[in-house]
Amino acid sequence: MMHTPALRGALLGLCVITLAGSGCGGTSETPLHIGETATPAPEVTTPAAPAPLVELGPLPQDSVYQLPVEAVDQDGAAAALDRHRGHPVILSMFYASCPTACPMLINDVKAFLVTLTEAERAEVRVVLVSLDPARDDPPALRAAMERHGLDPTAWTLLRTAPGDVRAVAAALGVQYRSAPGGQMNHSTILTLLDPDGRPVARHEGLGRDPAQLRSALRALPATPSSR
Amino acid sequence: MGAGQTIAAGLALTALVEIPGGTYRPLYPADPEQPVVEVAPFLLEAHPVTVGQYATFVRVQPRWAPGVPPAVLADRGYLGAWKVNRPADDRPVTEVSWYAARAYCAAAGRRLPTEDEWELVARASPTQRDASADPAWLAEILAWYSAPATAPLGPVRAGRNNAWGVWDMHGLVWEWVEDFNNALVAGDAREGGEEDKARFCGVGAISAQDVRDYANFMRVAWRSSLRGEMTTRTLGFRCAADLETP
Repeated sequence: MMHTPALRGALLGLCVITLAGSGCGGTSETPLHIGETATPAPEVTTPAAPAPLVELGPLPQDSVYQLPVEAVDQDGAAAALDRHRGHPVILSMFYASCPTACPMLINDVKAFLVTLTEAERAEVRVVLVSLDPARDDPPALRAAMERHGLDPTAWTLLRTAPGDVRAVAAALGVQYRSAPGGQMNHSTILTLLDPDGRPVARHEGLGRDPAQLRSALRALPATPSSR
Repeated sequence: MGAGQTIAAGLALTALVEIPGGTYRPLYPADPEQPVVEVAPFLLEAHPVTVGQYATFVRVQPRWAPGVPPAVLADRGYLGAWKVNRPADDRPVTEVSWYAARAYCAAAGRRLPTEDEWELVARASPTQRDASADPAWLAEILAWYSAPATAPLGPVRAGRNNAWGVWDMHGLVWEWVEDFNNALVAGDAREGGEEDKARFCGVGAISAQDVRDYANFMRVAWRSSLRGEMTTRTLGFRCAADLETP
């Protein structure tokens, strides 16, 4: 693949994210939650022993996290859409074998992250739900993570049950269908969720600066770990 | 309760009509080189789900009672005109979201029809299985589309059934399909980059081919404007099922 200026910018941004990630503990993926004390999170060694979740309060009625969708992530771990509850989340849909639009979408998100301050970047999480669960099993998602150089602290790729793909798309306003040659036609929409999963801004299309996501992100109430 | 209903899973299910499948020419084919798609044989409920049938469902699954589902699954209009439990009400249920319609069909052991399946059956007139080139029939559908939707809805099965033996594909309510969000013609596409522009131009060329079925165009355009949580006074649904292979 050609290293276009945009891609170089994105790769530069990724380095910044990685540094920010290691600066705040590195190995731990456990997000801070509302009301959580500032004591260091215990080292999580097995998926079966997650850090105890502190009371987050009931989910708002209009939270995307109300969708009864179960998924697995790129590591094969059980996941739900609310994996990053407590963080602002960029939620979108993609598929791993996508030749054109999805790499552009991922680069758009990277380019967007670059425009944030270091503190903002440390807070934001990116969740991409696969449109193609038949092929996007965890190894395929993990390969996509590596191919696109995605930092697993900030990025999560999810595979839902086949019947749940449309349930996610229907909530986000994503249009999609299968196309010849194993491809998918799909609209590219980035949705910014507040820490409780409420959609607060949407950005459609490719290759344009999602300025409204940035201003919506900055309009959010202070997130827990920036308090 | 309408004729031909069966009781299963605590629900009063509509009789299924076997549709032997066929070829269908979607308005926006996924592959422009394959403008005709094969629709496999399937089963379709003979009429839209009624208020009475939905009332039974709500009793079995109270999480779908009015005011209960979260806003992301059903907007504030959900079952807005609902009155408690009218098991004999044969009017089509409306003000249901796609998520609600899907939940009903799942509870029935069924599913929503795909757009291709629905449209295949919808092109039948009372006398022809494919009346999509019959100007008189298309005019009849368009006359319904252009009529103001202020009158109260009548009961299902009040009109003529179509050549498949299916009632109310036109003239009563609009209906959800499983893949209502499969057409890339959202209004916002027009302000997109090159990719969106190409998509929009291609769409224009394709629709020009089959402009005679303007009713089909209206349905596809309208569906693409929906979101899963939306409800309207004229939007209902019916379920489909796979044909069991022996």
